[in-house]
Amino acid sequence: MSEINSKVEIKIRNAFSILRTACFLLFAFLLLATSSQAQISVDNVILRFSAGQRPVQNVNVRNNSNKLGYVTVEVTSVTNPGKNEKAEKSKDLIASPKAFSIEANGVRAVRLLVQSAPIDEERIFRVSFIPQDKGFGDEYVKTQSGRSAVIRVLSGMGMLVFVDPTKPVIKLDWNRSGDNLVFENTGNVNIYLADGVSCPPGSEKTGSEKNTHEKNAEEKAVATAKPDECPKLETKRLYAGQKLELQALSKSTVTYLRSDGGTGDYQKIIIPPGDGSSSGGVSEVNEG
Amino acid sequence: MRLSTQRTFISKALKHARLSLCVLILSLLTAPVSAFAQTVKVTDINDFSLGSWSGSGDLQNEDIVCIYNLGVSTYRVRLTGTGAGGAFRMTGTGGDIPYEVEFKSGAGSFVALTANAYTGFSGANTVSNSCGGSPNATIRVTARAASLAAVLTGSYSDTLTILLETN
Repeated sequence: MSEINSKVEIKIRNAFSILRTACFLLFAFLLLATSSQAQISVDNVILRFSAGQRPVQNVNVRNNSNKLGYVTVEVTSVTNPGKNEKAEKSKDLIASPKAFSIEANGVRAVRLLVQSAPIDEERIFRVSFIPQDKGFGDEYVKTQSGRSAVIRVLSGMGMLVFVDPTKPVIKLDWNRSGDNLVFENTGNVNIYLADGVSCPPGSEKTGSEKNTHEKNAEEKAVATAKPDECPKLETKRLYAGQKLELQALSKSTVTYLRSDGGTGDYQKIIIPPGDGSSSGGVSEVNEG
Repeated sequence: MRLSTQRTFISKALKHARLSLCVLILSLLTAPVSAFAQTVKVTDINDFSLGSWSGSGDLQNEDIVCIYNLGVSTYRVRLTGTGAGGAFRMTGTGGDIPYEVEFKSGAGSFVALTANAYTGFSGANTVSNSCGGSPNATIRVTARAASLAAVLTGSYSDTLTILLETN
């Protein structure tokens, strides 16, 4: 029995030895998998200030390189979003600090503060975290003859910030007639429509193949269709009052993922074949 | 005797519990980002070395990068140089060399970018922040022969800043 115990012990030791090595290698990979390029990123590129919420939020800004990084923050207010978008510098949203450094592979919190009181409309801001170049040029050896050229590349990240109106209304209408399908945002908060597909009836399974656990036949049509059978539809963020007009075969089932007000929570919208409108009902499957 | 064997086994397993903890921590570190955090990322970026000009032809180089946008394939980019108004312009002791920047998403065609202006694209990887090892966008820079011929011998450089945003 002691021999068996000994064999079991050896096997355990070997197994843990392999695990320990794998663990070390993974740690080493994580340490080495950083770049010398100044790469600035943020944890969340869409931020929403909900009605009634404190007007202050923190954003974590990361330096993904192995060198000290310098960053400046640029805040602009967006008018005519989604159309002839214009961005102007704004003091309605304050970022603090506006310029800072981040240690190699470090993280720094930046505070965003909404300065002005809510209004009847949703307000949209872009917050850009722009890496700054310092000391570039010294590291490149000058050519003795000819002309040589080097371009250093830095990457930064922009955020989209939504500030809710005083009374947010989330409402998406749709109307389907023949091969035309129109979505309209009749509320006052943006709605993002993504991953739209239009699946023809031929992509549905036969009755005997249907899975009873699935929620409805429309969902089934999408789930079983081959990718090339379901043409992709336009992805768009619909701001208040905006429309999305699409061409989708009348016999097809249209599905979209919908996110309201930049929350990051997605719901599935399923629009059955044939003429109809949102007043006649729309299937929504909570994906959250 | 059997009870003794089981105790030995449990004892050995507990002895290595710290290793399991290490594995657990690493698993958490490498776990995918929450579906609710809207994240975009550009990786695999490299500097452009256009080399030395032989006296004829353009200088050109490409860099293939990974654009990741969690859950959403569309994105927009703004590229700026350090020239006036963000112009793409290399500087050196013998003058300035303007250059062109083009961007291609996936297997699409190159699109000439205007300095300091946003251009929208689709085709971001929506699942893997490393694009599963298959980068999905290309940046190409070109310095024209005429511009190179117009400056004196020397080293020329610029810093190109890419700003990536979700739509």
